[in-house]
Amino acid sequence: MQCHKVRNILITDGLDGEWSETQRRRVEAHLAQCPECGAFARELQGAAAEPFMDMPRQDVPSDLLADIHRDLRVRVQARRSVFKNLIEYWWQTVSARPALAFVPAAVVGLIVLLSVFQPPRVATQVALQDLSEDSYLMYLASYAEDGNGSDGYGTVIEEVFL
Amino acid sequence: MNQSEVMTEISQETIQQAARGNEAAFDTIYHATAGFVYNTALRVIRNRELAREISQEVYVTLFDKLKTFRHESRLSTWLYRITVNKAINLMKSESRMKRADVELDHVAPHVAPEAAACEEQEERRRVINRLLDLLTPEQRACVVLRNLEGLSYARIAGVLGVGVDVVRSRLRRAREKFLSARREVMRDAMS
Repeated sequence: MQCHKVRNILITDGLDGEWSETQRRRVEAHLAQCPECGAFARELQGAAAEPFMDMPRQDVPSDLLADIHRDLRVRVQARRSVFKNLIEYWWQTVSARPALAFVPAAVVGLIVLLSVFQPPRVATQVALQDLSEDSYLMYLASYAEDGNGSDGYGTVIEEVFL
Repeated sequence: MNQSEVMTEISQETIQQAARGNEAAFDTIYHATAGFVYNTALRVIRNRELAREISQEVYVTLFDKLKTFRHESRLSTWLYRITVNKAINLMKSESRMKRADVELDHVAPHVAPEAAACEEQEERRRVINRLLDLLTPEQRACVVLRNLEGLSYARIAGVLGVGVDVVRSRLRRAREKFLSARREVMRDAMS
């Protein structure tokens, strides 16, 4: 195994023990006979592994959970209060002007009416059809009266083939 | 011992109860996970106040999103992901980092200082801080998850949403920086 390959393995998989058994045996065989790579392995251990070894965990601040609970309570109350405020506002408005209670019913009724009674689309289509028929007849008439004596009948192709 | 083993896995029932708003179930999740959430945030961001802020945000996000949590991945992986993403985003925001820089090496130990053992720990913490300072946010997240939380490459890849080769490449670059820093220190000591 070449030195650069060995060092490449040592710096990641080797240091973290993420290598296969075969890989480990091959690297160790190389290290046994290559003092430079052996020195590199020790240097790597000192620079990238030892400083982090058995580093104790820091204590979580004791009042963190209380802060989280307070945060969550505010959020839950904010969500509830949006709905609650809407209901309260509506109730106050309706108490002051009872006639406003009919507004939602009127809106719903209007929506139902609009969806049931559609505008008469068929009549429009007939009118369009008539118009197109009229223009087609006018087109035919103009073709018959174009004054070239052919009575609007016969083309060069027809003269050749018929 | 692998540090990630410190965290106990949470039962699906507890997660479902917490998702329905059960406060006791939510607290169970907190007690099982707060250690690694806070420590991961602290090691990536290296500022106690910001680590606390991130942890708080993580649990608020957890509360909001727990209903949509699909049990395809472990809850711990999901929490690591939220924590690391929040920490990386915060690190990238320049104004906040200016604030963080002030505190870096002057962070008082949370545990009451007790004689030499504590001083030694504090010195080691300073060394780690200086090393982590050399890295980009993404490299730092990889080193924290691997060297301090003890996660496997596959799990780090899952947390960060990248391939195993990307994790390997970030770790390689980070360690090359550690090696250069060490050589520089040795050269200075020699001269």
